[in-house]
Amino acid sequence: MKEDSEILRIVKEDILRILIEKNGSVLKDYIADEIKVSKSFMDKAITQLEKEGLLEYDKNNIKLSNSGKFKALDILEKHLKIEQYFKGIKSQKQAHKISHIIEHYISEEVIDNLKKISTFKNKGDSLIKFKNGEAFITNMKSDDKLFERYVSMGIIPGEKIKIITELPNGLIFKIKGKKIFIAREYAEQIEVLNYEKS
Amino acid sequence: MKKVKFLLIGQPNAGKSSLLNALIGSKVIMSNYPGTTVEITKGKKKIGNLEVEFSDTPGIYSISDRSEEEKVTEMAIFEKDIDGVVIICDACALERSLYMVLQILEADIPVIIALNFVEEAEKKGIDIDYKKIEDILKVPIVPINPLTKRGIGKLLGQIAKYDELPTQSFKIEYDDHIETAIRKISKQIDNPRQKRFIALRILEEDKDFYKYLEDNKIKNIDDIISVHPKIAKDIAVTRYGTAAYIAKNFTKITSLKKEKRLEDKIDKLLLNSIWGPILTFSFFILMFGIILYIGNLIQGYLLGASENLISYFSQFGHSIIYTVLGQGLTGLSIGISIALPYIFLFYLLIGFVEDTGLLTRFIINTERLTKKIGLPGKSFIPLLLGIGCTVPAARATRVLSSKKEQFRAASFFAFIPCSSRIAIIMGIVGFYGGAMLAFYVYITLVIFGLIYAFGLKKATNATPEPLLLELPVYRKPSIKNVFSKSWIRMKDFVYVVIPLLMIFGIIYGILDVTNLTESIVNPFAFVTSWLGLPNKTIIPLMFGFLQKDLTGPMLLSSLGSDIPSALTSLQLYTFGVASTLGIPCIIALGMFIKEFGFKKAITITILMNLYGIIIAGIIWRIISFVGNMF
Repeated sequence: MKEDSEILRIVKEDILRILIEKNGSVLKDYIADEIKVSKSFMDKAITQLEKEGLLEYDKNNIKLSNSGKFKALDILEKHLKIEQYFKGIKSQKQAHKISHIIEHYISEEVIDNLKKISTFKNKGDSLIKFKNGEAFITNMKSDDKLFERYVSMGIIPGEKIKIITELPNGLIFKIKGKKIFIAREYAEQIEVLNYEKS
Repeated sequence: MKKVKFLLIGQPNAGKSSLLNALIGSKVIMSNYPGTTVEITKGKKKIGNLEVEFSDTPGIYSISDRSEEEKVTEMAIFEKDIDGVVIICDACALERSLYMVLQILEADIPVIIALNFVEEAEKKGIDIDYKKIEDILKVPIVPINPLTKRGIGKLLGQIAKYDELPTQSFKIEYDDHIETAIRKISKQIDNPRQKRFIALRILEEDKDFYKYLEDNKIKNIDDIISVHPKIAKDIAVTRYGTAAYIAKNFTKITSLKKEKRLEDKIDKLLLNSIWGPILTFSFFILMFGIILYIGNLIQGYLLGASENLISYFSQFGHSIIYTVLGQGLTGLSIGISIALPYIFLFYLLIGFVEDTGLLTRFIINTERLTKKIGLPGKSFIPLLLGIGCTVPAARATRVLSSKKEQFRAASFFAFIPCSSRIAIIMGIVGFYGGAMLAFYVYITLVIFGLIYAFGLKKATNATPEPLLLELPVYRKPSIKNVFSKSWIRMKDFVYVVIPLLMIFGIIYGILDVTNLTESIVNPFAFVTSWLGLPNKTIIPLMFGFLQKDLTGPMLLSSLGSDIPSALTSLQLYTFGVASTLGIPCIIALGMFIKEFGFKKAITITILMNLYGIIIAGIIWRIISFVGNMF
């Protein structure tokens, strides 16, 4: 189970935000329309949110619980703040879109990628088992400092990578046009999903 | 004249060293392969009546405290009294470059961005609207090309107007929980400036910044962190998200031609799991071949010249003073004629390899080996530099991320003969005992080095830090850059070692003239008898520890020039091992003390040199025992 996966986190946050924007209650189909992820994936997100006590789910109707409202307001507030922050340089509509992205901290393309991944049946594997071709990064396990190193090198969930060579001590892959060598120990902790199989 | 200080900061391979070259002219400073520039190097430039001191920092990806390089840069930004920072950004990797820019802007320092590789980016179809980015970040951006000097004048102009640089630049606004945490921590910080930067560093768990807190710890940490457990990670991604957003929206990517480039072909071969190590190994064999061949030619020429000089000198008489001074001169000429050509050639070739981008590939291939002996891949660079001279190589161990790993790697210099030790093996053992005998000495070093390595690995159960590095694009190295870099690396040797050679030569001359040598030799008779060597060989062994290059001449002065009749082959071999296995000389010991502290340095030196002497003695006993049986 990839409970901690970046996609799931984003989808969960999006569901909460949509709910609060729509006054706390909405039809499931509406959410499905809005966030464009696979049905099974959305179900998983909803089940988890329900388990966490953040929403109530009855047939086709989804409602925020009290603690859910609290959390969703938080997310919305964050969202509005970012929106305001970029309003100065972009149109209203664009600012809104940007804030959707930055609130999950990743680029537009990456978000699209992440959501696309959720429609795949296969849920990804460690980078080391992935011999060649292109893939999306879905999850990175690391301590905080290694994580920052990854991020500052452009290695981040949702980003597309292309494996170039496998060596006995590690892998060489291309990300954003740059070649990077990663040791086996680290590669094992990074999960990816095949890009072509979709 | 007014003096200002500017820092140069950039990611590895962003073109920092060539920019510095272009900025300050002939006085070049090192570049960095994931490498040996761990110290900050400086250069000065006059602009009008302003004197700007540029400090070059090691190339890093971000301000974090994972490695010594990052710590050095972080401290330079934060603690040094600087007037501004020039950040070199790679136009081909704008997103990543901006990540560090955003991080540095948090420190409230005036910043100028130098955008490098703009032409290269344009070729790739990347068009950056840097004016817009300038507006957002509120920081001047100057596109540069250090090779054609494009933008250099403009950059200097910006630096000259340093007091007009905006102090209120763009700041990332993090999510509420993070902002609250920043506020709460800021209240606990006991420093008037840069509170936000310090608070963020503390939230990212940079222990170096805890000293700004009362009692060096965060109060009510649970209260701050509980609402947002993944706070450090979220800070990093927010920064990246913002960088990515800016990069993406102000960059136009037009054509993306997919051409199979030469670079990929080279990499396919060089990073092949079979061919890679073979090519790496062959390359180094070839390199040493070149060094030995050309070094030999230069050495022959220089030796001839210095012999002439010494004989010219001795015609003035044979008084005590001339004998003493003559010894000093011999020491000097040996330093210049033996060590210099090899060391300089070595650094020249290494500099060339690193500037082409090949070295990173070699590191990946050699990591497979270093890992087996419990050393991280990056330790390959200091170990390789050790073949030149142990002293700068010991300093180069700073590339490794912890003092422990640095010390571990440095202890291997006992088995890696530096050029002075190579001179003993080749010039003494090989010259008087034949090439095979020299080869046996090498093999002995390798075997006992490996025994030490595996023993150490087993005993300490060390797991070296895994490798994560970017493969730079292949570039044509600038000859000027390579030369000046080699010079900087061997400066220590010229200014420290060569005068010492002279001084020790003179000391020996005095001892010789005053007949004091006997009183030094006798107390150490047990060492030479353990080694099965004539008592007098303690002189070259001891002087060798003062300065390795003295070993050869001292052996000749104490035993006479007819070495083959004074020492048997076995004795020559034993002498070779005893004088080369260990921490080579007092200068290396000094560097060890500087890097690792007195206690550790002394301990490792005594242990290693004892190890060498014990092994040499045992081998001598075994071989003579076996020899006597037949």
